[in-house]
Amino acid sequence: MPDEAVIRQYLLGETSEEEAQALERAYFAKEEALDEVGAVEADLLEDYLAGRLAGSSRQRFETHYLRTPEHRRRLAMVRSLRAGAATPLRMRKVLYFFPLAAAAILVLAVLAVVWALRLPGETHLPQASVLTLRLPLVAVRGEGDIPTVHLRPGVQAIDLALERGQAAPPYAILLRTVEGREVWQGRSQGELPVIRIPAARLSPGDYVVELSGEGDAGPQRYALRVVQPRE
Amino acid sequence: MKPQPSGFDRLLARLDPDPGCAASEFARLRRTLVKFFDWRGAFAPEDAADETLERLAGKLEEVEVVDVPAFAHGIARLVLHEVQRGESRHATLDGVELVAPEKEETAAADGRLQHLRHCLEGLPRESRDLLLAYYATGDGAGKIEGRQRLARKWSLSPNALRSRVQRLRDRVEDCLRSKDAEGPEGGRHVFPGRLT
Repeated sequence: MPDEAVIRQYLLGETSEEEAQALERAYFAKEEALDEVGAVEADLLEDYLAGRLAGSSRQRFETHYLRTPEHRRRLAMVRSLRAGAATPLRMRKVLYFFPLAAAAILVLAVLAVVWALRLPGETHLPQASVLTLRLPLVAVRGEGDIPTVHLRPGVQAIDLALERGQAAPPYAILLRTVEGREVWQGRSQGELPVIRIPAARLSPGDYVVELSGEGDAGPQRYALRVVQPRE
Repeated sequence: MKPQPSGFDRLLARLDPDPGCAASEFARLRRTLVKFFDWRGAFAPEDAADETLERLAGKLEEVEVVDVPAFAHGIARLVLHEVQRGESRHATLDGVELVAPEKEETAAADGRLQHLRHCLEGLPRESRDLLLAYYATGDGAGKIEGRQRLARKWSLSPNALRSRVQRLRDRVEDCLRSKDAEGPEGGRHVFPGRLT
């Protein structure tokens, strides 16, 4: 059976042509080897989604593996499968506790009415808030350490303070999903690259921020994860 | 593009004298070719695989081939070079795809999610349960243990479980591909063949 490390390198386009051909000869000859490559690919996708890929592998995954629409579609499918697999269990728990939850909601509703009657004329609005998150460059980020935004109710915008690295102002900043869909783009004129993104533009998932500065050779990349805590 | 009948028949006969076995060998070879082009980064792996099979069928009329899959691999590498040369000319078009209007993209993503739901519903119940249970094991320390427990429950070795899930994922992906080709109003996909 082919070595797992070599298979990972193959999928990330990091093997020599000789190594690639040797692996291909193996999976053309034996279906078990083909399945093994497929299983390693699935592990790679899961590792990426779980933030377990180290800096260089993660970058390679994004720039090489996710280059094709098929692979981006595959990543989206695995993400949906992971999300879908988690839902039925939660739903079962919700149904189990439904009578108790209904009673609790009723009590809370009564308390809310009492509270409102005690404070006539006072308006309670959800507090608007802006979250600030510092994003280090992908190349220096540690394994499993993806900066994460928790989109709680009331959060209206996210300020992303990007590590400056080698870039110089003015900055052009692009936010896209890891599948390649552009979500937001803008400019930052200040000395440090900071951008504000409306929370409404973000949905749970993994994102890549690309920062291009004046006269740069290529964009600097940052990883970002958005999660939505269940209420 | 479909291979010419004579070459195609010859290819089937070379894969296995028994017609039933030849058909499954052909499906296996095509799957291998699709995977090869996919992992090598071709943008249309299925088309490239069919092109390879057509050339292979033609070659079998001209030369004596001892190892058909190995020969197919050689042809596939040539096709890959041609495909990659063509794709490099269209690289900028891929960039255009990335800046498509957000609303349209969101609608497409919603559609894909619906397709996934339909594709999962099209799987036999046991297969669907296995696939979802596999992913329900999560990411933490319990993942390995959870998958070992799942393998025991299904009387499979951990490797056999991975392979089975891998094939189920392939089936869902094939279904998604056909759904995408159908458009947003595609119906329920029923998977042919046995439970894998």
